[in-house]
Order: sequence, then structure tokens, then C-alpha cells
Amino acid sequence: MSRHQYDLIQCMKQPGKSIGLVCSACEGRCPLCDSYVKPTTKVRICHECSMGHLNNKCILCANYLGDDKELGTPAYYCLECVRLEKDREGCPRIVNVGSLKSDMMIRKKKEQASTPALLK
Amino acid sequence: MAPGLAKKRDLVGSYTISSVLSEELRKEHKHEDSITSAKLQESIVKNDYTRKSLHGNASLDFDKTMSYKEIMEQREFEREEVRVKKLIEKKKQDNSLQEPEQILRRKRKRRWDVTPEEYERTNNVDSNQLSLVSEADAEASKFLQKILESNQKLPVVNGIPLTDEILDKILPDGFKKVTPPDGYKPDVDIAPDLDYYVPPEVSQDLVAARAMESQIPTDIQGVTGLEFFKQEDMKHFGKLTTIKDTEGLSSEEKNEINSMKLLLKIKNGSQITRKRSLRRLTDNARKFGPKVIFSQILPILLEPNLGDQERHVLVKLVGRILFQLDDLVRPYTQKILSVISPMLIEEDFTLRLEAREIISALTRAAGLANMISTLRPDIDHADEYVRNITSRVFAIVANTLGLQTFFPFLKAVLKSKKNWMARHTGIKIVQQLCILLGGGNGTSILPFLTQLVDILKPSLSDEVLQVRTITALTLAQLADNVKPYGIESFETVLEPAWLGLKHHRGKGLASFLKCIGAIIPLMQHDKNYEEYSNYYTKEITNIMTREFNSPDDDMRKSILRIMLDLPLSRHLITKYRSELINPFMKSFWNRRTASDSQQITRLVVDVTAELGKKFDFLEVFEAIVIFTKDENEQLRRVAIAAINKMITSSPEELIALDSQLEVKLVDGVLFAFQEQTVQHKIYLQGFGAVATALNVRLKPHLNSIISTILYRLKNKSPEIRLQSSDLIAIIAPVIKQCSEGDENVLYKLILILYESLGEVYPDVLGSIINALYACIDALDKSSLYVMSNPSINQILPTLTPILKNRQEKVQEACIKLVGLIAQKNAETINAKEWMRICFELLEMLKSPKKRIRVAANDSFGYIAKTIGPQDVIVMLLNNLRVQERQLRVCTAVAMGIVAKTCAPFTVLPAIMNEYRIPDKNVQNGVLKALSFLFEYLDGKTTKDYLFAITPLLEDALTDRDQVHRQTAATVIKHVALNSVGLANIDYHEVFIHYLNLILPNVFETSPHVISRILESIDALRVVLGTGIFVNYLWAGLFHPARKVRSPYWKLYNYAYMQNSDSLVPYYPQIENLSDDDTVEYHIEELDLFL
Repeated sequence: MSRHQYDLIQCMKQPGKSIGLVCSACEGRCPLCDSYVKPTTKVRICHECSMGHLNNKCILCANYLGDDKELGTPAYYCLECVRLEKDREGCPRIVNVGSLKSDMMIRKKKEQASTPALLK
Repeated sequence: MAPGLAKKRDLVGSYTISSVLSEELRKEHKHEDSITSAKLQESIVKNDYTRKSLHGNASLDFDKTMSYKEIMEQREFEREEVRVKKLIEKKKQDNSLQEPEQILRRKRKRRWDVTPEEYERTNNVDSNQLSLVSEADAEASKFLQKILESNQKLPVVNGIPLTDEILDKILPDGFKKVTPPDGYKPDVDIAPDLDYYVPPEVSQDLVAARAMESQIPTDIQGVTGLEFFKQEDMKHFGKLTTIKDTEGLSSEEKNEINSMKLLLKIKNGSQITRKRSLRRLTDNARKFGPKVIFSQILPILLEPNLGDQERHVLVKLVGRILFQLDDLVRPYTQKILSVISPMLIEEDFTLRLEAREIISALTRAAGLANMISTLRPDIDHADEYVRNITSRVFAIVANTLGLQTFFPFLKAVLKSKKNWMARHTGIKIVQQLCILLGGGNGTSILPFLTQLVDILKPSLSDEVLQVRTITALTLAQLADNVKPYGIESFETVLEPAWLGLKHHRGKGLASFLKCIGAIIPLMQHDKNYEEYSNYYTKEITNIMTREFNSPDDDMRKSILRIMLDLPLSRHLITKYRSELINPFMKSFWNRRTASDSQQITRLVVDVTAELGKKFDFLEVFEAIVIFTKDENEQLRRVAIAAINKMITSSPEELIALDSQLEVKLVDGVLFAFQEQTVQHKIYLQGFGAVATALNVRLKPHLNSIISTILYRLKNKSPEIRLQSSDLIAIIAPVIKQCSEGDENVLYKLILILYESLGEVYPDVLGSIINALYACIDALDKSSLYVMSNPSINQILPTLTPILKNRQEKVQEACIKLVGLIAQKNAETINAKEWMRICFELLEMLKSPKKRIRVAANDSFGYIAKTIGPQDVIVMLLNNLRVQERQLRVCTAVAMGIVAKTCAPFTVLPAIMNEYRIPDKNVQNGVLKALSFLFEYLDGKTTKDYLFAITPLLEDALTDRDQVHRQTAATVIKHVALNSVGLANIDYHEVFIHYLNLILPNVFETSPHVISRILESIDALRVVLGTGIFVNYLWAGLFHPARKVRSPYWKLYNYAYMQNSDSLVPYYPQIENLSDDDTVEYHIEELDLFL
């Protein structure tokens, strides 16, 4: 994610025992290089990122994963990042809200206010 | 009306539109004159609290700064003021309690010494006075007074001034005022009649507003790309309109004008202008200086009419500027905080997060001491609002700088004796800090836990109720944070908390319940506290069952929350049926609770599932199933939600389900599904959960379920059709399971869905296609072959026009279905049909939604596999010549996928041949396609193509165009990383050749290019080994020019990070070099290796 959106910040603390989960939109994507192929090792995130208000959110886009994280699937590093040992650099969780996302939310809010949806 | 009469009327020709049509027209043009819900919401949201955020205590005067001492004095004064006001209020109340006596004192009727005349007179005077005071008269007199005072020249008759209003009242309807004719001019010579009517003067505000309106400029000099300019903007940007040229201005003023222009562009500009100006302002932030920038931004942020978008963009700007200015912001900490901190209690989570990030950045820039001195005066502010916000800000400060540094201050505040408000705020800081960290995230708190609890302990028995309540709540939050550790620290507060539990009622009780309820789960974790845990669980269960019937929402919520975490068990509460489950069912499973807030119903569902798990699943389950047939829809929905939750969490429990309950369950779920009036997705989830859990046991009920679905599929309302087709998609695999080889049911469903493809509502159409997908997916290949009505041959041509649909849901569903058919049964379909579909899919690559593009690319792969890559690749290569970048990238991805599915040798010649076209876009597209191709291939295949692609890459790497080199570098990265461990020494010369070609590019400066180049060099190091690689570095590491040195050191550092151990043997032996210029060729025997 942070490869294509430069204002995203990765946590980069020492990873712990918990596996990083992603939402259906980010499934299959390497958290470091956004590659969709050759998933190799499971992503591990740090303790603080696996708890608190971020605990049931996608590690890349912070989408909600349900109360018991039932909508989440484990994230994987791709083969290339593993060979370059980038999987050992630290917890890859995105900890801030990117401007792209916050801009989108504001825009959606505006649209919602102006046009009511037919079907929800 | 008699029928004959009606008939007679019909005879008269009616030339109006039909009543149905007119009804529809009326509906269409129905003018909503009530307040819209959005507006209503807005006015509700703008309550006391939010309004305060706009007119807070902010003093944004940038020239006047108050010292700490002055602020503290002011706060003291304010507190005193509030205290005095309260005293006055109290006194008034006391007085009003006494007053009735005075009023009721009976008036003596008539003294013996007063004559009747005198008595009469005094009475009259009294009544006159009274009448003057009576309301109607008061109003009239006021009105008269106003008119007289306004000094208007009005004709007065009998003391009544004839204003328009009065005339309207006197004269009957139908009269109107006549204006003098156009050419009329009053004769100036004649002395004006003083008694004529003068229209009331236009009020001063209106004049000002009109003047403003006339002033609002359409365009401002030097500022282009604005989308709008509001009236309020004049207040902040008016200067821009008055100043025409900047020639004669001082540099300071020029600075101000420039930053103001940029700010206006950011606030009101179109997207491109906004982005550009945002960048310019942040880049030049240090040049403009904090005072100029903040004195302009902060007042705008306090504007109440600011739109969401504008506020958001300004807040973003503040965040970025803070980052740039760093310690320069210190003097403005208080001002920034006063504007930003109210956003911490915003309803929207993202906005709160934004504010949090800004305050965190501010804390880092300003430092702890500065933050404390800024916020200290507000800690015991008289206003609760200010204290609330202050505690939140402090929590962020503590979180950012670490509790270690913040703790001494916190300790001092918590121990404050001076005034309970400071103590209250201090406790609240701890609470907010816990909330900030979130449940189970207490690692940073744990080291201070014992001290914190010890400090909080006396507050549990404070004299002020508010302090006691917040202490209990904070302890609960702390326990929740450090779960499952730290019971040793909490042991000391157990006793006072339990005492508080016994002594409080209402809200206080709820908070103490929460406190004990949060501590019990910690005991469970520690073996030494088992007895404690059992005792407290039993006791608290008793208290909770007593409070089940409490009408207070807060209490109900806390009870439900506690029950979720309590270690209840059959052994602990032996008579659980009569003591817990029955009372719980009675007081929470009723229509009143079901119509309560969503939060409560969710908690009820969770607790019910928890009780089922801990006591008796089937018993609880049976008790709930009854409610699926309740008359109240909300209760039915909650019941379905509970069933869904229970079954999904433990589907194995249903094995013990007896046939009677099974019938009841399916019947109930089906009934609830049929009777819903508001379509809700929980019904679908519940149905899906039941179906997957029952699996083949669903067979006896399948007929009734399918007939219900089919019936609803024909419903008039689109929502119902949508929901029932979604349901088909969910249960299709179960139908397959139940069919046991007889696919007729699925065939029938497919036929009906196929016939419904003419659906007009796009949302419904998407769901129908999804259902069709699920049904076809459930069938296996052989039964798909024999399917005749409709055959796959019929379905696919029907889908081709649907692919043109613009709606995203339809597009995605349709592409997926096409892909499925290509996977499952491609052989029966003509290649031409597939090509037609390929062309449609190319169009799909333009879609803004990534999922659609990904699905389309996958479909290319499936199609190419069946009809061969030749035609598809030609079509894709032609597509490389288009303008849009997104389309070219997607085409490149598609080529990569096609090459992977059909083996590279089938397409690589064609792709490489295309590189000969002297068009930048095409060549880049080819390189991109190669990059994706080698990303997808595995190492064994990759190395076979190494020599084949080298000349092409050689050419690309020596091209003038940066993008050529960048993309070629990515290709090399993929190739190199793929062949690690597979390419032996024979291949090394190719990689060395690549390294030779890439290395000169380390001096590139463009961020995209350099990052790709460095990555590919990294990859080459991995494949070649450190030894060969570092030979390229030594020469550059000590180059006299810094520009040369720094990229080499960067490369060296990367190598050092990853392969420091393997670097050691390759370090040059500097100590062997002699100081004079003699060259020594002596090599130790063991140093020699090949």
C-alpha cells in the first residue's frame, strides 16, 4: 500500500506473535510491494497493532473486519520481498489515515447528503 | 354516490390525463416542504456541546499573549464568578421559597378609619397599575412607544399612528396600497407636510450585508481556479480584493498576501489548484513563518459555516505545516490547540483520528513542558466542556511522549487537594488514555499499574459523587486494558469497590458494577485468585439479576457488557435455569428491548450466545427459536441475529438437535424471512448459517424454501427480488449437497434465473447474475455439459450485451460469470464468440474500480487458455497504442497473465517484435508486460528466457528516456529474484552485464526512478553474491565528490544490512598498501581463491 501512496506510515515496530489480517479488497496483496502473486510467508504484526482500536481492522486499508475478525484473511509477503528480506524489517501495519482515504470519506459524505440511495 | 349518477358523470368528456398518471406526476413533483432529515440532523448535532467548539474560549489575538500567571489569575476569577453565581441562584431559590407567604398574606379589607371614597380611589389606582402591567397592554404600549421614539412622520388619528400594520388590521380585505404614478415628483416649493408616511428605515445589518454582497468579487487578481467564493470569505480574504498591486508593499506584507492567496486557493479551489497550492504553501511554510500562516488559518477554522470539505482540507494543511515548522510552532501551541482540540469529540471517527494525529505532532514539536504549561490552566476550568477536552488532549500527550515522562505530572494532578475538578480531570486523563490505547493494549501502562491504582484508591471514597463514579469507570477501563495481567495491583481496590457497590444506587451503582465486572476476568487468569473469582462472580450475578429489570439504559448496558466476560459456569451457578437464564430471558427477550437502541440489541444477542456456550446450548436455542414467529418484527430480527451468532460460532451443537426443534427452526427462519417488511441483511446471514449448519438435513424443507424464494423472485418490489436472488447465491452449494446426484432443482433454478436476466434494476440484475454464478459453480463439469435448457451456449450470448451495462455491480458479476464459464465449459463455445467477449473485456479495463479490472484480466487468461493466445495477444498489443496510462498498464498485466497461462514461448516473440515500433508508449508497454510476465513466472521457466530478452533490455537500459530505464530495471529485478538459487555460474555473466548497465543510473534523482534502480541493484546483489557486487562499490565509496559518494554509501549500507557476515572476506586489505607509491603484488598463499 505504502508503495503507491506515499503519505501512509508503516508501524515498523518489532513484530510479535499475531498474524496480520486484511479485508477482502486487499486479499492476496503483499503489504510491502502490492504484488498479487507468489504469497510466501505470513505477515506478523506487533503487539500494539494487534490490540486496541485497530485490532479488528484491515492492516492495509483499515476496513472493518467484523467483531470477531471473521471477514479477515491472513496477509502474506510475496516471494520477492522475502528474498530481499524485507519481511524482516518490522511490523508493516499502516498506522495513519492516508489523505486519499480521508478525501474519499469527505466526498462520500457530501454525495450522501445530496442524493439518497435507492437500495441499501 | 349512486352508480347511475357516477355513470352520468362519466359521460362528460374528460380530457385530463389518467388518474394513475397524474398520481405519478404528483409524486414526482412532490415538493417536500418539511425539513429534510439531513437538516434536522444538523440542527440536532449542533447542540450545546458542538456549538461551544466554535465559540470556545479561543482567544486568537496574535499580537496579545498572556503570561502563565495572568491566565491562572483569569481562571481563578472565572471559577470565583461561577461560584458566586451559584450562590446567588441558591439565594434566589431560598427567597422564592419564602415569597409565597408574602403574596398570600391576606389584605385587610378595609380599615375602620378609611372613608369609602378613599377606599374606592386606592382600589382604582391599584387596578390601573395592574392593567398597565397586564401583558397585552404592555405589548401595545411598547409598540406605541417604539413608533413614537422612532420619530417617524406618520399621520396620527386619535393617538393611533397609521402604520401599514395597523391599517391592515382596520381595513377589510381587498384594499391595497397605491403607489404614486411614475412621473410624480413632490413639489419642493411647498413646505412638506410633516404628517405623511415615511417608510421604515432599512436596518443597519441589512445594509452591511447588501454592501458585502455587492462587494463579493467574481474573480480576484492573481488567484485563478476558484470554485466558489462565499460571503464569509470576505471577512478573511477581503484584503486580496482591495490591494491591486503589490509593488509598493513591504516584504512582510507581500508574504502575507502571497500566503493568503495560496490559502484561498486551497480552501476554495478546484482539485488540481488545491493540491498544487497545498504543496507550495507547505514547502514555503518556513519562509512565510508560523505567525503569518496561523493567523490566517485558525480564524477560518473557527468559522461556523465552514463546509466539511473546506474544514478537512484546512486541517490537513495544519498537519503538514506543523511537520514543516517543527519547533517554530511553540509560541502558538495554545492557539492551535484551542482550534484543533474540539475536533477530538467529533462524531466521525476519521475526523477524530485526524485531530489526534495533529495534536500528537504538535506535542512532539512543542515538548512536554510547553504542553503542560499551556494546558495546566484548563485542568480545573469552571466549564465541564473545557475540562473534558483538556483531559483528552493530555491523554494524547501522554501516549505520544510515553507514560514514563508524563507520570510525575499525572501523579501531582491526581493527588491535588485544592479542588475536586482537578482531581476529576486527572482521573479522566487516565481513562482517556486507556480508551486511546484500546482494550488489551496496556503494555505501556502495566509498569505503572500498581502506582496508578494506589493513587486512584482514595478517590473511590471521595466526597464528590462525580469523582467516585469516574474513578470506578477508570478502574474498569484500566482492568480492561491490562487484561489478563495485573490482578495483584487491583487487589487493594477490591474492598473499597465492593463497599461502593453496596452503597450506591442508579448511575453510581452501574459504574461500580462495571469496575468489579472488569476486574473479575483478571482473577480468572491467576490460579491464586480462584476463590476470589468464584466468590465475586456469584455475588455479582445476584446483584445483576436484581438489576435486570432496571429501566436505566446505562445500567442495562453495563450489565450486559459484564455478563459477556464473566467466568460463569454450571458448577458455579448450579440453579442457573431459575437464577440466571429465565430471569434474563424474561427481562431482555421482549418487544421493548427489541425496539431499543441497536447497541443494546447487539449486546443482548452476544450475551445470549455466550449463555448458550456456557450453560446449555440447546435450551437457550429453543427459547429463542420461539421468537422467530413473534408478531413484532424487531423481535424476530433480533431472534434471527441471535440464531445466526449461535450457529456460526458453534455449528457442531446442532448435531444434537431433535427433529421437532429442527422443523421449528427452519419454519421460524422461513417465516421471519417471509414476513420482513424492512429488508435486512441479517436474514440472509441467518438463513445462510442455518442452511450450511444443517446441510443435508435441510433436504425435507428444501421444497418449501425454494418455492418461497421463487415466489418472492417475482415480487413487485425490487428490494425483495434482490434479497431472494442473494439468498439463492447463498444456499446454492447446500442445494447441491441435498440433491444427491439429481440436479433437476439446480437446472430449474438456472432456467428461472436465466429468464430473469431482463431485469431492469441494475442492483437486482447484479444479484441475479451472482445467483446464476453460484448455481453454475455448484454444478460439476459433467452435469454442466448435459444441461440443455438453457445450455451454456445459450447463456453466454445473453451475457455479452449485459457486459455493456455501466453499473459496477452488474459489470463485476458478469465478468466473473464469463470467467467461470471460460474455466468450466469453454469448449462448447465458438472462438468468435470468445473474441467478441474479449473486446468487451478490453473496455472493462477502463473501469475505475480495481476489482473489475482484476476480474477482467483473469478472464483474459481463461479465454486465452481455451482459444489459444494468438488472437488475444494481437488484440492486446494493438491496445498498447492508446493514450490512457491505466489502460496500457492493464493491457500489460493481461499480457503477463496470458503469457503465464499459455507458456511464454507462445507470446514472447510477438511481444518482443512489438518493441521495434519507435513509439515510446508502445515500448514502455512492452517493457511493462515483460515486467509483469517475469513477476508471474516461476524461477525455473525464467532462466530459460534470460539470454533471449537480454538484447532488448540492453537497448532499454541505454535509452535516453528515464521510464525505459526504470521499467527495464523492474524487469531485471523480477528476473534476478526469480532465478536466485536456480541460475548457476553460466548465467552469472548475464547478470553482471545487467549490473554494468544499471550501475550508472544510481545518480538519478527522480524519486520513482531511483527507487526502482536501487531495488534492481539489490536484487542483482542477491543473485550474484556479495563478493562480486562489492567490487563495484569500493571505487565509489571514497570518491572526492559527495554527489558520487553518497549513492555508493547507500548501496554499501544496504549490502551491510543484509549480508554483513558474507561481506567480511571481501573487504580490501588496506593495511597492505604501502604509504609510498610502490605497488606490491605479494599475496598470502591462503588469500588466493577463485
